[in-house]
Amino acid sequence: MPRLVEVIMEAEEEANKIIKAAEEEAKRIIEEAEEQAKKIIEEAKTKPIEVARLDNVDQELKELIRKAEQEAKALKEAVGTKMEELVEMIVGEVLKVE
Amino acid sequence: MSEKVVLDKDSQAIVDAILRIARDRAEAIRKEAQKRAQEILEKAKLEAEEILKSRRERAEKEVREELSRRRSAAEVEANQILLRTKAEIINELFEKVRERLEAIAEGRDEKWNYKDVLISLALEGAKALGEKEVVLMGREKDRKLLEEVAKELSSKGIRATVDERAVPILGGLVIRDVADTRRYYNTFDGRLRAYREEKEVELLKKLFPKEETVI
Repeated sequence: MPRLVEVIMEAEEEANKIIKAAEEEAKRIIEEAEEQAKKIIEEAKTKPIEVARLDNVDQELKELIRKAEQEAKALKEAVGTKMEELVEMIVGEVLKVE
Repeated sequence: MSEKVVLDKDSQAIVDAILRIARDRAEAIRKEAQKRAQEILEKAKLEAEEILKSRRERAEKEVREELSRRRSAAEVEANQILLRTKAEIINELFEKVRERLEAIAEGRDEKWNYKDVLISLALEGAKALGEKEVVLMGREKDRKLLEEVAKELSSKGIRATVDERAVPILGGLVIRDVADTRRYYNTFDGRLRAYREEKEVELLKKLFPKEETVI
């Protein structure tokens, strides 16, 4: 009978080791998960964000300026013929006496 | 178990049961840990997605704002190009008018007789002053012409003389009363300035009929 007690005690000791090993493994699994979770969040905070490129917009805006310059040139050309008529008209009106 | 012991059937059953329970418990602990680890990772992934979403939205907003700023700046610049051009054109127009008036005052314009212009301006000034006697003031180089204008006025019933003092003007004249308490400025410079102030918007409409006329 004492032998049985001894065997049972040994079995319990072995059982405790098994459980302790499992607990340590569980602790390691959770710690690893927490570490990985930290990495995931840190990566999300620092990962470069891709957004729409502005190169095309720069081109579009340059085109806007270019059109304005063309329009200004066209204005000058269109006015050319009117200018002399207007000078004539204004001189007449400036010197006109009631 | 440190020592190999031969157990009877019942004792072996007890030992096996103890170890089986322990292994089951260990397995349960491992499974629980794996479940918890999975939860931690799932939560982290969700949090990471939220962070990325928020950063992406902020970045996109910044891009939109930058785009809007750049577009506004380009529109302002484009508008200024047109406004500057219109201002240049209107300035050029009035410069040409000034040159033309200068030519008239120098007697270099076939279409206009400067003396006749001076007579009209002098009559208008004298009429405005309502005086029977006036004094004419003008450029030094116009003195002779002004004397002739004075005679012309006198022939129309308005006694006129020419002031010894000259005035630095483009052309035209100043008519004053004898006491020099009232003056009527009928100079080319003044008339041109007044005309521009009054008619510039109208002229812009004539020059740029399809455009907005504000400069």
